[in-house]
Amino acid sequence: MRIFTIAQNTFRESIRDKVLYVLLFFAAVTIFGSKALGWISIGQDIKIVKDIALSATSIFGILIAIFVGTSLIYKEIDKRTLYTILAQPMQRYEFILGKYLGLVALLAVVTVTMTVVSSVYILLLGGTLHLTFFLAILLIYAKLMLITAFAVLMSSLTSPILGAIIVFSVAVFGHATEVFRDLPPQFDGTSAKALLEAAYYVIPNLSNFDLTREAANGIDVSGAYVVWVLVYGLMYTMTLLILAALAFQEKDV
Amino acid sequence: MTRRIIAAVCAFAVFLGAVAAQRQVNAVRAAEQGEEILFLPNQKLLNHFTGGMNNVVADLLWLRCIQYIATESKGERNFTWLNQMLNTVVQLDPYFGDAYRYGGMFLAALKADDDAGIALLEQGVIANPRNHQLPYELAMIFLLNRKDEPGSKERATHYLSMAAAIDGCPEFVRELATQLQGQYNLADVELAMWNRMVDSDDKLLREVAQRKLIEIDIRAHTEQLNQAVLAFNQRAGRFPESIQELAGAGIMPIPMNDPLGGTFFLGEDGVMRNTTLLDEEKKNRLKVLNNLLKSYKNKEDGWPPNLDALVAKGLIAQLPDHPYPDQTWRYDAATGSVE
Repeated sequence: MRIFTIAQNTFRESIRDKVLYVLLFFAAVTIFGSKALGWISIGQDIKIVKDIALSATSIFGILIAIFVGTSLIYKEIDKRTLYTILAQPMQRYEFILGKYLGLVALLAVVTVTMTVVSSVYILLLGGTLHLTFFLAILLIYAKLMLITAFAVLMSSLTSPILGAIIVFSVAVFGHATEVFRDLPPQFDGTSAKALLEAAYYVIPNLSNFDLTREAANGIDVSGAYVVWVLVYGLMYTMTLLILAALAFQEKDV
Repeated sequence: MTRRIIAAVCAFAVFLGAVAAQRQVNAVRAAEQGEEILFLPNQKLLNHFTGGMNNVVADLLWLRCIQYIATESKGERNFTWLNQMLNTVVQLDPYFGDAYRYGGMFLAALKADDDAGIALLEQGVIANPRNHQLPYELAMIFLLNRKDEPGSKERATHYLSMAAAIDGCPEFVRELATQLQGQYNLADVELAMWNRMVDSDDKLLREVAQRKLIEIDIRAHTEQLNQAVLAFNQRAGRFPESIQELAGAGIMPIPMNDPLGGTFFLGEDGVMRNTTLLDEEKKNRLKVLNNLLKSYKNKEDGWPPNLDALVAKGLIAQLPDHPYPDQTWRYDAATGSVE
């Protein structure tokens, strides 16, 4: 119940954040503007609109998670509201979890809004929507949940600016982790190989959540793949939330 | 108020400066157009470093590719970077069916690089087994570009049968597959292909198709003129000495004005030819020769002493003839240039 109350407050507070509306405005401009690129693409306008709609949902979702997520705890300390909250009969992990759930609820609203807008736009342009398009959105949301958990962890550990830089870097390099696994043969038997393979598992593999190619081209994806990616996302997110709770528990406020 | 006006004028002046600078940047860039592909990282690495935006990067590269084709079509028609650009696009988005389809077609029809077109389309067939357009385009290359090669019609039939077996395949492809098993009529096949494309919504495709249809008309007219030369030969027992003599005999069809700016001429061997078709063929054969020269240089670390060295090294079975019957290739061994 206490977690739910904090989540509710976080949601209300975040939805009033002007950054959210600026980002949503740019996302809408990007999606609607993508049609212009389609004019010179030899009949690829719908594909390009789908590609850009999915990428905009992902990138602007990540930006919202970073900008709002990394300042969650800092804002409470800055406004001195944290002391009032912690004075209540409540565990610190409940506070962290409530904050997290409030933010992912906000991201759910943003993702659903962008999906509805993109879908209507694609249908109005004469395109069709395949099930894979919605599965791609589902996995984007799972990715946003993971990144939000990482942003909350950073919010418990460091300043908003440094946290935003770290989360953004992980969000970019998280799409390239397979480089660490597919190493050329000259790495065989070296300690660098073991180190890089460890990095492959430690850095979240965000390319798992990318179904944009399949969605834009109407290609079927296996249900097992989607389920396993969701399981991976859930496990990783839980790991980050536990670490965030531990970090906040130890934090001297 | 005055300050505001001065500020506004200054801002406008600076803005004009920025526009002028942008025009200079464009002028400098125009000289290096297409070569930016050289600065892209390795195609496989590029896949990893787009931050999850592979498809958007593929789309942007595809648009760049179309601009490149349009620019080259109106300019040198070399298409040097086309293959690399297309391969990068499909590496980023392996399900991008139309990049394989149009890319394969452009490589074969515009760059005269059938091998690259076939390789791209075959890669597309593997990644998109439910796309009937890719085996169809492969069949077209074997039918039209490689019609004189042994086994090409069998391979074309194989790909057409493959296309015909895929759901959603248009009826004409199925009919064509059946037709191929009977009597071949490649001129009609080619005409039908470009006629379908001339109705495309896309300007670039329409322009390519329009040019190809004009070339077909010119070829047909050249053929008619050669029929007239044969008729003259049967009547007079010799070939005419000039077009005027042929026209004077009253058996030549009404001369066509070549819309592409070429002219018809009668060769010393008594064959009517058209300069537009010969120039196009010359460009295509030069591309083949230049590719062979580059291969030779890469292998031997130097340009060959003469063009026959390409045959001697087994790079090609026979050198392509110069399309103009009274001309030969001029090769400079110092620079590796041929014209």
